[in-house]
Amino acid sequence: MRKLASVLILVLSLFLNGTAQQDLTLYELRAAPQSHSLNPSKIPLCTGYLLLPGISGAYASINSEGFTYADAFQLNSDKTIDIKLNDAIEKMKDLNNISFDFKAPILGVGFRMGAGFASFGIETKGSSRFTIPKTLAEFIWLGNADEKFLGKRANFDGLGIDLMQYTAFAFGYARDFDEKWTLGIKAKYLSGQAFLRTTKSSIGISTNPENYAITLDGQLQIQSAGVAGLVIDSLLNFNGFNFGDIGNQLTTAGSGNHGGAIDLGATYRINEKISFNASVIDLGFINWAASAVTKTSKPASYTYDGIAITDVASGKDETESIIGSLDTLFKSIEFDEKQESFTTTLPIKIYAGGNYRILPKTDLSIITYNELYNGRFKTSLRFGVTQRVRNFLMATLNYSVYGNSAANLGAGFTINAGPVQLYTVTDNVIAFMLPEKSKNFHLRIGINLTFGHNFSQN
Amino acid sequence: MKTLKSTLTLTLLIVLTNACINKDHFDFKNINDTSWNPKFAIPLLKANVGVYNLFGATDSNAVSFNGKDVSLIYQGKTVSLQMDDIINLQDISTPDVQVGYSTPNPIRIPLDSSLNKIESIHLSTGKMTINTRIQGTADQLIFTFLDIKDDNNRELEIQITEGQSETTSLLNHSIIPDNGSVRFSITSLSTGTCNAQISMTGLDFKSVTGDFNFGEIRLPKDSFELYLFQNIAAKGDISINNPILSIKAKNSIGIALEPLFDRVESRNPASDDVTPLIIKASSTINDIKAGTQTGNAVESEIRLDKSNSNLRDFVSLSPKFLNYELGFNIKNNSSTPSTIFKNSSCELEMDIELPLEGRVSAFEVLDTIDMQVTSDLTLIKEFLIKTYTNNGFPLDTKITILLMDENRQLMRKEDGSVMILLDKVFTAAAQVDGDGIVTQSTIVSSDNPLLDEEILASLPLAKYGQMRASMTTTNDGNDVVKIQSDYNLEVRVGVKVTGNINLTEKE
Repeated sequence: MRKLASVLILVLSLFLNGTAQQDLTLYELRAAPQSHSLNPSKIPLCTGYLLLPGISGAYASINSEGFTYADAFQLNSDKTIDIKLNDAIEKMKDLNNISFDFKAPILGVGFRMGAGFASFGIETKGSSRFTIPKTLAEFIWLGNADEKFLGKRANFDGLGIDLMQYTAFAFGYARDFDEKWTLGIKAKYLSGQAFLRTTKSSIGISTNPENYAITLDGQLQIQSAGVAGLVIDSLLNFNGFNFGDIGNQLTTAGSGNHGGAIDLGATYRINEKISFNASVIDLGFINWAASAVTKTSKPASYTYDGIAITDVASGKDETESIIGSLDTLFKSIEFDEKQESFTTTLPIKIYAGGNYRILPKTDLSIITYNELYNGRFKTSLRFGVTQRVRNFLMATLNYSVYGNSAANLGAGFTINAGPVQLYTVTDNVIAFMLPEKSKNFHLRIGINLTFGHNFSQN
Repeated sequence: MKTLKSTLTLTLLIVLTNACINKDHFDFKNINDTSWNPKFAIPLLKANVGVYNLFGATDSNAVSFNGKDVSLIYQGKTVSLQMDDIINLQDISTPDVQVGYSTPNPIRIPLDSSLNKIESIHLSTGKMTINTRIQGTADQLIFTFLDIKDDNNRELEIQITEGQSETTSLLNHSIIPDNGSVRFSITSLSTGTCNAQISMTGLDFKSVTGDFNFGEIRLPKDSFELYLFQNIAAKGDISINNPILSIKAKNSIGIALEPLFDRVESRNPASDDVTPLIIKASSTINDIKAGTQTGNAVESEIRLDKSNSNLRDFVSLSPKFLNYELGFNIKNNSSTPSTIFKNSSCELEMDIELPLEGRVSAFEVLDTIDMQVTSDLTLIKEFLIKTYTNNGFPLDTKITILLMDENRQLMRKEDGSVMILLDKVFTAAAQVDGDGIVTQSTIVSSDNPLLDEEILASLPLAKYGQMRASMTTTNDGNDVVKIQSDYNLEVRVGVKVTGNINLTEKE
C-alpha cells in the first residue's frame, strides 16, 4: 500500500508538471536528421540518412501543470518522508493540463541533391491532453463535507480531454541559395486516425448543508471522430461495440480523415559566425469526416437526496441508491447529436533564434519557441551551447525557461560509428537527476543511419 | 583516442546524472504513517409524510378527504332486516261444518291481530283444498270465494261433487279479506246442505298491504373487535373530538322504522369496562324512512356523534369489542295502509368516521427501514447523523431509530439496553391558530454525532432500523388540533462520515 501510494503520486506528479513539448534541444542537434523536422532550412549534417521503424527511436513526453513529487512527499532531515498531499494540491493551478505526446518515425529518407536536400518521411504522431481542475483534486482529497465545499458549488468547469492521432506523409526540400540564405519547405499529407475533444465542459457538485442533498449540474459538448468517435458513440449511446465487425468498424473510422500541412524554414547567415533562423511548423488542418460527431448535452441538474421512503407507515421504499441514481442520471442525459464533418487545425509551432560561433567547433545559440493551439498561446526561451567533435560526436547543453519553470537544463548528443548514429536528447536533464523536483519529462532516443557526415557545415 | 575519451566522458556524465538522484526521497519504507481523512456527506433517506402516509396504514382505504378536512372512515358491518323473516303466512284450516247452499259463509283468515290489520295479500304460492261429505245425494257443487280473486279479478270458483275432495292452486291469486275474513258461497242445482272442510296450505306472498305493527323487532346478537390502529402498532393516547357512527339505511320495506341502539355497547377486554353507545337521556336519532309502495328502496342516514352517543369512549388505540343487538320499532304514522313485498328488507351499512380533529399524546408510529451503513469500521473516524425536518403537522415529533439485525430483531448492548442510532430527535410542531389549524410549518435541523463506541462497532451487523416516531399535539397533548389534507412532514436523514484511510498501510 505504502509503495503503491508513493508510485501513484510520483506518476501523478510527473503528469501534473510541465508543458507541451517544444524540442528546444533537438533544434540545435543538426547531426540528428530529426532536427530537420523542426526547421526545414536546417539541412542535416550529412549527405544522406535513413530512418527505420523501431530502430530510429521515438519521442515521448509527459507534461503537466501542478505539483512535484517533492511537494507531495516531503523528505525530513531524519530521512523519513511525510505525505503532504494537501500542500501539493495547493500548488496546482485552477486548471491543470496533463498531456502525453509521442512521435514515431515509420520511415525516413533524405539525401543531398547538389545545393539542395530532399527528404521523405512517414511519421505517426499522437497527443492527448487532460484538463483537471484543481477543485477536483481538492474535492477527492477533502470530501464534499469539507467546509470548502459544504453549501457551495464545487466547480469542475473545464474538466476535459483533447486527443488527436494522425500519420503524416512528408515531402521536404531545402536549398542553399547562396552563402547567406537557406530556405526549406515541407509539404505533408495527413491522415487522421482519432480525435476527441471536450469543447464545452461545465460540471459542478453542490452539497446542501441542511440535508446533505447532492446536486450534480453540468453541460458537455464533445467532438469526436475516427476511432475515438466510434468509441464515444458506443459509450454515450450505451449500445456497446459490435465486436463481430470490429475490424471493419475500426478500419473505416481510422481512414477518411484527410488533411494537409506545410512547414516553412529559413536560415540567414550574416557572416561565418553569426546566423539567424526561423521556422513555422504544422501550418495545416485535418478534416475529420469518418465517424465524426458533435454531441452536445442539454444543461442538466440532478439532485440525489436519499432513498425515498414513499410510504413511511407501510415501509415501502424505492431502492435506488446513490450509485443507482448516478446510473439513472447518466442514462437520462440527453445529447443533441450532429453527425457532420469538422475541421481542426494542428498546434502551430514557431521557432526563431540565432547562433554565434564562438569557437571553430562551438556554437552559442538562443531560440524562442511559440505554440498556438486552440486559442491558447505558449512561449519559451532557451540559451544553449553546442560542441562538435570531429565528425562523430555532437553534444549540446542548454538552459530554458518554459512551462512556469525556470529550472530546465537540456542536453543531447549524437555519436556516430560509421553510418550508425546513436542519439539521445532531453529538454530537461533535471527530470532524471532530481525527478522529485522536476517539472518536465522528455526524451528522444534512437539509432539513425547517416552517411557522409560533415559537422563543420554552418 | 579522442573518440574514446569523448565516449568515456559521456558515459561518466550519464552515471553522474543517475548518482545525483536522492534515493532517500524514494525510500518508501521511511514514509511516516499518514491517514486520509476526507469528509463525506451523503443523503441517506428522505420521506414526505402526508396525511395519507401517516394514517393510511391503519387501512389504506380509510383516509377520506372532504375539501381540506380529513377523516378516517372504517367500514363496519352491514346488517339486514328481512321481511321474509317477519311475516309468515300460516296454513289455514276450517273445521268440518255443515253449510247450506247459496249462503255466504265466512271463513276466518287469522292474519289480522290486535297489531296488524291486513287489507290484501298477493300470493306467490299456496293451494286450497276442499273436502266434502255427502249429506244425501251426491250433488254437483260450486264453491265461490268472494274475497279470493285471480289476476283478472275473477273470483275463485271450485267445482266439486259432494262427497269428494278438490285441490286448486292459489298461484297469482289475491286475498282481500272482508274485515279479516274470507267469504265463500256454494251453489248447486239442488237445494240443501253439505259438510265441507276447507284448508289453505303452503301460502306465501308477493306482497301484503295493511296496517302493521309487529312490535319491537330484534336482530340476532353479534359482536366484533374494534382495533382502529393495529396496522401501525401504534401506542399512546388519542382523543378524537367528534367521532361519528354513520349508518346508511336502504329500506325497501314500505314502513318507516325506528332504529334501536340501546343494546349496543363497547367492552374493554383488559378492564372489562362496558360503555353503552347511546346517551339515553338526550339521544335524538333519526328514523329510517319507509320504502316506496312499489317495493323500491329509500335511503336515509342516521348519525351518531358526541351529541347523542358515547362514541368518543369507543375510539382508542387499544382493541375493544363491540357487542350489539340492533332493534327496530315500526313507525307507521300514516293513515294510508302500507305495502310490504316479499323480498323487501332494511339494510344498514355502518361506518365509523373519525374526523381528524383532536388530541394525541405520545402517539407512536413504527416502521422498519433498510440500512447498511458500512462493512469496514476501520475506514471511519467520525460518524454523524444529520436530520432535517420541515414539520407541517401540529404535532411535536420525536424520532428514534433503533438498530435491528438481519432477523429484524432489536440489537442490544452488553447491558441489555437497545442500540439507539438516533435518539429522540425532536421536531417541533407547526404553529396553529385558535381553531387548531396550522399556519406555519417548523424547520428543525440537528447534528447527532454517534459517540457510543459499542454501537459504532456494531454498525456492520445492523441490517435494518426500527424507526419510532412519537407524536404529541401542542401543549403536551392538551390542545385540540385539526389535521388537514395539505399537511406534510418532510424528513431528511443524512450522514457525515470522516474517513480514516491509512495511505501507508504496511503490506
